[in-house]
Amino acid sequence: MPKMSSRASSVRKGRKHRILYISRPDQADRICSGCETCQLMCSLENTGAFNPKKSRIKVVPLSVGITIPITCQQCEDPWCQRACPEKAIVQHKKLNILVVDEKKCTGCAACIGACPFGIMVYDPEKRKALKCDLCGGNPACVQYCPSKVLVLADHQRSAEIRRRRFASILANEDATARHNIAGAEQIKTLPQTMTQLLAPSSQLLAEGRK
Amino acid sequence: MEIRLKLFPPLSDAAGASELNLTVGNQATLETVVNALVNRFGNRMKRHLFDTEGRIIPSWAVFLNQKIVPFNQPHALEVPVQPQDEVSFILNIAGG
Amino acid sequence: MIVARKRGAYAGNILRVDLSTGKVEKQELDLAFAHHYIGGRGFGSRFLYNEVTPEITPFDPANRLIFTPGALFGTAVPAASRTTATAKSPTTEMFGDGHSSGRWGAMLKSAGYDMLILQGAAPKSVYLWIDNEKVEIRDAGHLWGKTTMGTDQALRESLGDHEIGTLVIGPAGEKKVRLASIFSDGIMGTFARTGMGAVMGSKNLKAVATRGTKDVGIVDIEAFRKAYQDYLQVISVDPYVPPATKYGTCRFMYHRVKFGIHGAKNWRLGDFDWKPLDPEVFRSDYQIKASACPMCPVRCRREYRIPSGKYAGTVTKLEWETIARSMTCGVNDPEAVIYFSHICNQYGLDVEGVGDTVAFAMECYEKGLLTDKETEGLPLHFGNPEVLIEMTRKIAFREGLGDLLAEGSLRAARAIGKGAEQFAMQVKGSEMSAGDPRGMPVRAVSYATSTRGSDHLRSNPYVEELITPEEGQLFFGSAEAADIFQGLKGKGRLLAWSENFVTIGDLLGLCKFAYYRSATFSYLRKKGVELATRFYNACNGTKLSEEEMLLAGERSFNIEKAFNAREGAGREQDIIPERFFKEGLAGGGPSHGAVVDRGKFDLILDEYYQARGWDEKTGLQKRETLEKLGLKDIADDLAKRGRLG
Repeated sequence: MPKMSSRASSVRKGRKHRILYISRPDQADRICSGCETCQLMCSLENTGAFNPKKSRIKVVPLSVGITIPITCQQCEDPWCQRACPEKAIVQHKKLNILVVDEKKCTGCAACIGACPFGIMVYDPEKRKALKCDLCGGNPACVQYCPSKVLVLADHQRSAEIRRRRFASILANEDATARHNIAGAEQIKTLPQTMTQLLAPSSQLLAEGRK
Repeated sequence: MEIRLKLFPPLSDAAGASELNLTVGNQATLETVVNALVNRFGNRMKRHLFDTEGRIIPSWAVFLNQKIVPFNQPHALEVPVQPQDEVSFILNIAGG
Repeated sequence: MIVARKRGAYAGNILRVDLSTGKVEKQELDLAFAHHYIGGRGFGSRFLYNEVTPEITPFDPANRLIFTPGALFGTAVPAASRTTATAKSPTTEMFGDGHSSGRWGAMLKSAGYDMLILQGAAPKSVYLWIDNEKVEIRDAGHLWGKTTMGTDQALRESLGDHEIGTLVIGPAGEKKVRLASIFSDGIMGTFARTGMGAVMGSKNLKAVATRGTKDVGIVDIEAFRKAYQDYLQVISVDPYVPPATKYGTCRFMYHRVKFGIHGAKNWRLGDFDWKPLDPEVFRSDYQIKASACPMCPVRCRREYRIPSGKYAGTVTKLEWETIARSMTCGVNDPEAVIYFSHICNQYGLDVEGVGDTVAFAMECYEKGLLTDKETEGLPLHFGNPEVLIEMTRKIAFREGLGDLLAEGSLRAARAIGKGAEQFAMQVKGSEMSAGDPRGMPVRAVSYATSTRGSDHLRSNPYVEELITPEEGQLFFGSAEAADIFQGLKGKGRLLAWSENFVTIGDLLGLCKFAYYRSATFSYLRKKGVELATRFYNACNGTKLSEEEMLLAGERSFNIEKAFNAREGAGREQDIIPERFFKEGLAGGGPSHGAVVDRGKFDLILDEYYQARGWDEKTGLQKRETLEKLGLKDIADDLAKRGRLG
């Protein structure tokens, strides 16, 4: 079991922390593998049973081979808290994050609709909202991720990641612009559609008769 | 004497090369070759060739000049090597 | 063994749906039954034996199609994400099953069921929708004809829930192609072998969609965490694991190269131009990332993308046997191989069966048993990738020659006649898998003894490559058990033990690559017996010993054997194709010239039957063996039918 890191103890001391997805795209085993271990270890830690519906971290399968874990961003100006009519989203007793007060929560799901990351979760059994509470400072998902793509990040690290993400959005815009310029100068043949590829090839048959 | 080694992954990853020459003593055996390989490349080579009890893992097999020698056969590690012999370590996984 | 009172990781219910009448029945799962048969393959085999007797044919509505997640699926036990599908097989006409990765099995448990038993056949195409307690048979007219991915996507859209689990068949299953498979969650996993897709198609069942929101329980969390840490510790030192994570299942190429056992050109060549299919090529040019099946830290599954060229834009899942069977057809173009996997995945076909069947047809064409008339001008030459792809498509849609080949190589051979059967490389009707057995005596026997036809996963004779002579003596009664090429004594016992051992994985839903493969025998037993048992006990509050877990493996194997015995199979059916006995392995390589020695084959088989407690002459089970396993009722049933040893 990984030891309680100094970062975890700094979580307790009050610095804002959040769990971020930080992959190393140049290393095949440092990209989210899609194993979903994080989901079940989250539900185990929080409820004592296995249920992905009760996980506070969600892995989104975007397409074949692409899976992305989404985590609560522990927003500075939280949409969930603003949306809650019962004042049920409150400060954690020890950590500098918000949590759901089950006694006050009525399960109206306003927070679930409000969260821009879609990461407020509805407990199907208790019929109440669930939110990531960093497992008290030593998140289970971070501990058990085999590809080590989940990182408990403080405000400095978070800022750095957000800068890089925004930078790559801008870089993509440049790349698209370059491609469009290039595309206008060339006429490319589109690859065959699936139907064309899969139809019996008359050329194939002709070759057979030679 | 010098022998030629051919390595497949993961040993080639640990060595940083898939072909190399290794210098061993004149009475060298396959066991000597394994030890020489580990001496040269350290722990990152050792973890693939030795188990936690310090024994050479028997599931390895080498090609000694095109003839296969599985390490789990009796006296396999005592097979002597000659100058300019080629020893190939192929990945020891079994499966399908 | 004390039967725990807590449900633990079991859902607690059996769901039975009759597609002819529409009747839905729920029954409580008896815990004593659960702790005896464990789950997965153990549940499927027991129910199949109980309910499908010899007069029921595979496409008869009375055939059962039984889905059983492994006992630990739904928990976070590492790599516990496999589900079994069991039915009487359209290829072997006896016991059949498939095992798949995916999410559906956990979803069934979350919906509240440990088993789904399907019987009957719907009057028109339907899909089954299970939403916790709600179970509905719905019209599937809009889904019929769709590919596997297409069906999966359509279900998620129309049900408005992208988190459901799905099981689907593609066009091949709809057309009852005997080589058709069932796919889980798009192309996430497949119940590949023994024609499960054709059985589902024969029931007019296009898909099963499932949503579950209930907990999967666990009794002893501390014991679970400790076992988890111990598991991570073993895989951190086991040399088997880094190449698995790095290359995916492509890595098995090196094993075939090592022994020169590719099975190329319809199992004639031991050596072959394999370099274009080097694992490094797949890793550096095509793989997307180190993917994982649910809960697995080994991460050896792979999806591949073709960025350019003829098949540009293809994204699909591909595993080792696709590469192997492409070489069986003489094809070694990596992009064509990926595309071959892609169309098998989309049309819902067993890549192993299709590869071998097309290779069979290629050899028939080579020898003039099939001509341009039958192939409608398609030049069925070995090594032609377009031909492999086109023939696969024809099989999926039963077009032209594809209609004959869709019956599998054995039936196609019988229809062609003129001695074509000698080119159909199959055991008990199910096509050959893995590598060539010539030169490795116990491997040869292992293909013969598997209860569902040729299957390298059923048995694990690779143990002979891991053990020392001392371990051979200690565990299997002879140092010879460690001698891969010449050893005889102890091999039969090794095979019997290996079969029981890997069956544990199928009971619990554990992946073989995560628990039943290793670089050393002691790590292997640590993972596959000790940790497997500890995980089971932690989740369920039971106190099963390791011996009892091995016995549970032996129990399921014997039920499957009994099923086959009841169908009329005995020692005569425990055999491999003549080619392996008569023809020396050709093409060069380390095993060039080798044959399977019939005398040695028979000696190992004798020792195997002895180790199993079966009659050596007939291969039938003895009463005391069945009774020792708690299967007296099966002994009585077989005795009535004269099928007891």
